[in-house]
Amino acid sequence: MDGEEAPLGALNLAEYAPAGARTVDCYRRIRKIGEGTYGEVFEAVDIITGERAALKKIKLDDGKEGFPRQILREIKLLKKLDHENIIRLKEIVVSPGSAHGTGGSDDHIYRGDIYMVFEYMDHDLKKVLHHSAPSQVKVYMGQLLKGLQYCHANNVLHRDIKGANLLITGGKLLKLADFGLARLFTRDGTLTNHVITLWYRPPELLLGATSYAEPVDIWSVGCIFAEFLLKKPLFPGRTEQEQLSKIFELCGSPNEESWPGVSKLPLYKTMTIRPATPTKRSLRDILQNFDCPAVELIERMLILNPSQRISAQDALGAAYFIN
Amino acid sequence: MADFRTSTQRERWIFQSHDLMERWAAANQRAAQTLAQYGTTRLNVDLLDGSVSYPESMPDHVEGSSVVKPLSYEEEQLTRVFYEQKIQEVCAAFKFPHKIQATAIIYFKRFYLQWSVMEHQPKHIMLTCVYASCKVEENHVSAEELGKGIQQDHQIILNNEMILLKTLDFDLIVYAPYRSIEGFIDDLEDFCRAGNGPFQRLKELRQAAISHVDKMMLTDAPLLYTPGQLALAALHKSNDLLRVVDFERYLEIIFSRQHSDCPIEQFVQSINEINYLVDQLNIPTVKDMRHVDRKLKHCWDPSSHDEHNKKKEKKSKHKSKRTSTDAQL
Repeated sequence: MDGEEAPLGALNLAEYAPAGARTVDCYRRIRKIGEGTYGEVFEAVDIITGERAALKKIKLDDGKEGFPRQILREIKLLKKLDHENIIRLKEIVVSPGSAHGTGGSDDHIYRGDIYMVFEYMDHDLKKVLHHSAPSQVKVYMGQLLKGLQYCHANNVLHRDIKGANLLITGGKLLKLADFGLARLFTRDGTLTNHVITLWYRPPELLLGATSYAEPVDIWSVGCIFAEFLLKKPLFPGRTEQEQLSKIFELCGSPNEESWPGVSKLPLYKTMTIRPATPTKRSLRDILQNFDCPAVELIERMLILNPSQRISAQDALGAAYFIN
Repeated sequence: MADFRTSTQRERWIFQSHDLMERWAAANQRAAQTLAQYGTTRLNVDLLDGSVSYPESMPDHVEGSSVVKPLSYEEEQLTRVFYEQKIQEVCAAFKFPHKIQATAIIYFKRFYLQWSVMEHQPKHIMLTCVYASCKVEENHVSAEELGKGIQQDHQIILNNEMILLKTLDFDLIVYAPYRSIEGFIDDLEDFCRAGNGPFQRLKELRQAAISHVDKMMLTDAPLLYTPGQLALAALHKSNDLLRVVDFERYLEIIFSRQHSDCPIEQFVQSINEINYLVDQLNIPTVKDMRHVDRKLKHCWDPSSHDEHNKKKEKKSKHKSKRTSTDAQL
């Protein structure tokens, strides 16, 4: 490919449309590094600048409705967000129109491939979640909350906060990534219920709520925070029923007194049959060996009633960060 | 307006007049060169990835010999306004909100800042802009529904989607003056309650301003000014007609509140410039476009020009025959 000229008749799009997207040939692929919400992710290098990047391949469907609307939504949101703790979308590139499937390092290039190009990050939080020093945990939690506070201030919900979607570079800079399930929200909107990976999913979603907002992300952050301390997942359920049981076991059973409106949630009756006897909150018990301000903050992030859950902004002002 | 300040629209899609003219002229010249060299201006677009290549030379074309003339700069301008107005008609027919209409028009304007109307059919690009706008603004309309509603093959809508998105560089979020108007009307309600006028008539003012923005969207103003400036210009113009509030006093209050670096005189000048562009707006009719459409069709498909010539030839023969008959007498 190095010495190959552009196909006869092909326009150099850069000449025609300075603002237009480049092709994937601007990048040399190095290795596959994972799977995003909608497709494979590759480490790559910009051939001209030498800059490293992550190419996230977009899976196109049958083309019946053209460009996938979920991808458009993700691109739209990422273009809107500009913050040091949020992954930066550099550009969108496409592969050339003809197939190059005949061997060599370009085997992966197929007709019509489209890639989102992100800044490269060394690894995700999963690699360090179970062995980070307390001082490093505070740095990561601060950055996570700053990035999230910025999202929420821009009316964007992430809706899939977990270790795999928190990326780290230089050993200390953390960024929110994978906005494949993210979306803009309004106070009165109705949103899909099936979001957030099970272990980090808040009780209101497990009970079928479709009117929700920032607190859903805060619950996920609380689970991450507790996992940093415990060095294992806090609520590792295998089914939605089990997930909810594990939550109630540690956070107590909800009722109309502690969570007004909970009994009206669509799945309340079917999902809460088992704990006939109300259980008391015992989360603090399993966290008793840890720093008090940290435990206090986790408690406020993992309140069952979403309207009482702490906000990202208030969390940043908590005692845990001030000392 | 907090969102607009950090948007790609403000950063990349607000221009100076001369920049716009340079871009339009460059696109026009490029298409004219393509016509001279290949005998047609129609570019080949790969449907899947939106990549573009030069047209294949027409079979009988000798370079430089084309009798087909390219559209002039002015004719292109007229064509763009015509189809932007068509976007408004399509959106009205589907009862789409103003946000979708504005987004589609802005996409169309941005697309033809980089391409000539001779290179990509505005009739098709217009539909793709509406479709993409519906997708981006979370108003779910399938290509099939849209196509059915306007008696067009839905595949035409999808065919140009990739090149549209790439030309926009996926800068999908658009800020339109309509939302800014709502903000200013809310503000004017407080202004009126403080004893500056009857707020019952703000409804009239709002409606008049929205109609004014509809016209404004067909000018170059949305590529030259911010949504806030456009909204204030529309409210100012509408207030001149309806006399609801003392608008000069309102502007003074806004400026004193914001501690703006920009002097109020400069801002008033921008408002006047915007309204001048609206006053100068000339929306071509179908009749006005007939000649331009024919030229465009010839640029697109030169064989249609040959057809036209053959018809002329036939008429000529007929005349000749008639003359001959007369001579016999």
